[in-house]
Amino acid sequence: MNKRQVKLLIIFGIIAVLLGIAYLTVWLYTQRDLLIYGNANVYFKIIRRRAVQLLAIVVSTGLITSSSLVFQTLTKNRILTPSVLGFDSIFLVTQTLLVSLLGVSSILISNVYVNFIISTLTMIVITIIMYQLVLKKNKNNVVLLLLMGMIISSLAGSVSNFIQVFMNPDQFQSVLSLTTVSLTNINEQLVYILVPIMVVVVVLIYRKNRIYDVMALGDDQAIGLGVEYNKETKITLVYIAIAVAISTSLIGPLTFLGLIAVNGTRELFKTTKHKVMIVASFLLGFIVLMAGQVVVELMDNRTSVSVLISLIGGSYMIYLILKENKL
Amino acid sequence: MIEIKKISQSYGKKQILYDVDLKIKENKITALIGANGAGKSTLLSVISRLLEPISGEIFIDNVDISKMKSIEIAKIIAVLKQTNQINLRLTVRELVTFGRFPHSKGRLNNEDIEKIEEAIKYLKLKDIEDMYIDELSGGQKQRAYIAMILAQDTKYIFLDEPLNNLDMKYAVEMMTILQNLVKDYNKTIVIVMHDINFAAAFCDYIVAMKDGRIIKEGTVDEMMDKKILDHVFDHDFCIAGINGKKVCVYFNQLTNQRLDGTSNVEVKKEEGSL
Repeated sequence: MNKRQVKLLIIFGIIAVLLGIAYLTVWLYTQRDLLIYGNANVYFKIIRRRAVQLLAIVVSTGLITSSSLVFQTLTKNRILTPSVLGFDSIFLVTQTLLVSLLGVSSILISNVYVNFIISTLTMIVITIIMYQLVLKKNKNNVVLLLLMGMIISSLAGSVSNFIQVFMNPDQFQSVLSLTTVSLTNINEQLVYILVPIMVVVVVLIYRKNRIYDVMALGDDQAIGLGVEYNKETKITLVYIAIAVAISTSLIGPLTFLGLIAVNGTRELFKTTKHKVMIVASFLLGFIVLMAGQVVVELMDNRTSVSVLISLIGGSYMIYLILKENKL
Repeated sequence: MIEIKKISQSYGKKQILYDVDLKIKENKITALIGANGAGKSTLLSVISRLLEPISGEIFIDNVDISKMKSIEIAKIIAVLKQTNQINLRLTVRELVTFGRFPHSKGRLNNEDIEKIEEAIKYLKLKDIEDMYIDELSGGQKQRAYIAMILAQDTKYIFLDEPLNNLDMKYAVEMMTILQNLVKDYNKTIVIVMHDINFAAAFCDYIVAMKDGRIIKEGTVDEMMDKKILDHVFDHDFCIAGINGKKVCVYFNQLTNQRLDGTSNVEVKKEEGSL
């Protein structure tokens, strides 16, 4: 790491901490009435709720950015991320199918933990099948993959819609409560059990950073240097599938966050070392997400942060595609 | 020693290699020659375990390669494929550092740093070690990759068409470097190449492939034979001698016929007008 990168990382760290504090305290400004009518008990509850949300956001951001980064390394492109390929809309279908096939009263739905395990396992299986079918053959055809992602997203969306039409109101309600998660609507019950898992996954990805450095050289070169390429690819895909499944079920789909964070890091840090990039993209992702959330709250929640991120991320993606095409 | 026994390989239904047997000579440069599609590159990939063969076995010093860990093989065999189009922004030094991965797993110790320094110096890359590889000329880039292979510190080196995209000066420079590697570091090198004259001038041993089989192998002198080469390449060659080395000419067959009579081209009536 050179001096410039260290300096940037420190600046990022400070901004991230400031934004974290801003998130914990922004309600003091937006809901000034509370200061007059509230009491210590209320304040404590709000802070506690926000602290839990912050924890969930921190860990999910780490998961989204690190999984996007290694996904780009595996597929050797700099534009796609698992969510752009529609992997998180598979989450919707999985939940809808589970509810419609098993019924609302099934333990698979009503028990948060069991439901979570089932939907994660399903997503991992689907993700790996998708990889085998689509990515392996067309690794370098970014446009085709984008198209596939679009089709998968809209297909998954339509299938969910179609099934939801046949549901009775009870079932529909339970699908909605399972799938309309967002930054501000986090299931606290899940946070405590998921955070340890997420930390483990991020650490597992981080520990392989040197292997990913070599894998970025390409399959042949990596095998020549003694990396068991196929094995590592499969393991990493399982990590990515877990990461997408968990972060989507916890804070909802944030399609472009990984894209902004990883590519922003590439441009600012100009490095190929995954060690630096994992940390930097995490900080950048967190900054983008938190800044968005604080701005949204200051605007009286007239829009949601995922919309804001899609707006920025979508434009950035168009820019990236145009830039790549020129080269 | 590397010994290959009854290797077969196919892509889909198309069989590429048919029961290939080969022993690679130690401390020599071996050239794999043959027409396009003869299976040279595939054979190289199979020997260097980039491709898994459908059947057959490969032994390094009498140990079956399929029973070895990839990282252990990487300490014995280094391989460089023909397409090295990575769009990574790496400096020359970073690239060479990757060569130490099998030994250091990314955590460099003093010995690793010494080897990297040595490789950079040996290939005269010291002046450009901080340049990005996508800013280098073809010859410099190829040298940087060879430095990486040298830093990997293996007994065997496999190269797939290392002379591609190099002009004559750099091609000769590259082959001289490889000859020196054999001399200075006792390396064993296997190269896939097209240019029969380069193979004849710089290699010690030539293995000729055709349609997925090894049809002939031998020393340069034995292999630079019109009959053999005509058969290998299905082409009409003319072997000449310059400075005591055999050179083959594979164009202007009409003129060759008139000069030394070794070409098969029937002399036609237009000859008179030449």
